[in-house]
Amino acid sequence: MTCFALCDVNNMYVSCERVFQPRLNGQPVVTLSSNDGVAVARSNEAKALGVKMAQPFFEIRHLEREAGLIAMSANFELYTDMSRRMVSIARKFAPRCQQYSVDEVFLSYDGADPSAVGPYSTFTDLGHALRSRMLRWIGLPSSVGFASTKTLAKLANHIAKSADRGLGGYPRHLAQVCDFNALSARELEALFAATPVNDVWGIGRKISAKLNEAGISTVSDLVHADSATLRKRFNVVVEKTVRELRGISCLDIEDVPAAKQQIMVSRSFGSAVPDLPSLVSAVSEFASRATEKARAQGSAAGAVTVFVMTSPFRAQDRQHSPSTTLQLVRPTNDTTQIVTTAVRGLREIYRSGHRYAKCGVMLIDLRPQELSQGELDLFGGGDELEPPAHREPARDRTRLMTAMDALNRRFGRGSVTLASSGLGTERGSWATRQERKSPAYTNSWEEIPVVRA
Amino acid sequence: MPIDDESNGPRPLRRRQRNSDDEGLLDTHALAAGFGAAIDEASTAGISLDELLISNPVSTFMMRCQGDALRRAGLVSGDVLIVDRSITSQAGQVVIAVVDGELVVRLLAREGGALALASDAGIEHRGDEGFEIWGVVTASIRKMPT
Repeated sequence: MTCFALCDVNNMYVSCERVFQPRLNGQPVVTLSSNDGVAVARSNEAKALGVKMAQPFFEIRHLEREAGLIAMSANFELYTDMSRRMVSIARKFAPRCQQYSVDEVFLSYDGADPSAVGPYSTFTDLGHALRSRMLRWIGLPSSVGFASTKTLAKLANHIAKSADRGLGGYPRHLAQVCDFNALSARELEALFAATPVNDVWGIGRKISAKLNEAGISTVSDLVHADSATLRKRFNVVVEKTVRELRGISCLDIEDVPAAKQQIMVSRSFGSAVPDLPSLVSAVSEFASRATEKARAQGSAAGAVTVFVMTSPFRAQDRQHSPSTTLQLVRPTNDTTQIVTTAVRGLREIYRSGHRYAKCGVMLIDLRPQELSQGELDLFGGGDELEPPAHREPARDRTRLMTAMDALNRRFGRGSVTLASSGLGTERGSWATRQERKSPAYTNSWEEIPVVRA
Repeated sequence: MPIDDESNGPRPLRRRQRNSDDEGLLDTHALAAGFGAAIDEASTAGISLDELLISNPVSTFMMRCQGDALRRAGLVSGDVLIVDRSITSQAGQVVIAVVDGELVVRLLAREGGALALASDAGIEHRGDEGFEIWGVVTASIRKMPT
């Protein structure tokens, strides 16, 4: 029998900030993304003040004065580094390991015997050992859930986390680490009956509203519902989820292939020397193909590199091989944004009078697209807890782009621009607003923490 | 600092990453140098400071010392401190501690039966004054005037 575990850092972004600024412990803290516009992570104290996920900052700003709320700009360099450390630690606790998002790692075990991976008599012991190493080595608090399927492991994790916060009326002994396989059928049934269906991974708000209408309000109701009826009334996602809840594993650990670290698309032009408009269209095409690849592997890019180069084999030509890297306002795999950014970079580096022989686009700073989930959710109305196999690809506005380009060709460049991208013509207006960002403690010698002696 | 799964022993130098996935072949490190510049891939391995100074990269963080209250322990303002959180702290070590929500570097001392934080001036915080150990300083790096 396969056993799955989900290890999940509690309030990841805020917890990372607290490692380097211990004065934030016990304080209501949120981190902001999207030009400091939206709260994307909340400490338990901030949740207790009623701050919602993806809530606009202007709606909660008054809490700074009234309740001592501390709002910080998201520091993705820091979170990404801490996330890598988290995965390295988790790897030592299981034969197989898959990073699911910036703060979640799935582990899987072949048998029911945890002593195969270390000196642990039960998976609960193993979970506590993992949790305490995570806390000790990198300062991050986490929760661990074990079960026979990924969906159940995610639910066990949710219960471990809720029990730790004293929520949901769950038994205290399940706090921090919860192993469904160690519970009796009766205990498990009691947990299911106490858990609303929208706490289940893959059951979003819309589906859970429909389920509620059909009289299915708890996990227990869902597990005991008639499969054929569910299949008729709901989609295949719900059916798969229910099978997973019944202990039939449908999502394997290797469902999602390892993501690439960067994606490159480039081309040489041969003898034909392109002018700026042809370079613009080449770069647009490369950027949109690179973005498709990013979406295919479930990644979002944090930055885009564009380069053009003259041919080193034509010694008689003046050589000019510049490149530039532009940060995206937030990690994205939206074609429109990436194409716009790449073309902007091209215009910056292009100098007329050179015989460019090659150009290319590279997406870098790739991260799981869940990282910007809160925001995608805000704009796309998608469900927050969709498993990877079920998730719909992010919106692809390639056709919109094509139509726009056609209009611009006909009526002159700049006739139609993207209101949604919020672009001015100046580089300055493109810069991300992150006024409250903490230093890159682990990524820059200039910004490492300073300690008083 | 690269993060590696193997926390012990020498690690092979990572090869520069090539992305041969697509039509083009690009050395990502050439980006910084401009595309005309050819970069020699076969650089010699040499010896590594990481190998000497960092035994557990996953739990190791860098900090900068500010102030001269630990000169007798060998620290000078501006030193880079290598801090390993995986090491169990004991008296006699230089540690990073949390005092009043702030990270400070101190000498961990034993006073009576209890641990205490000390500087050159003597004992500053006793165990019952509520401090927490953040990590153990395993090395200090100082640049010399050149």
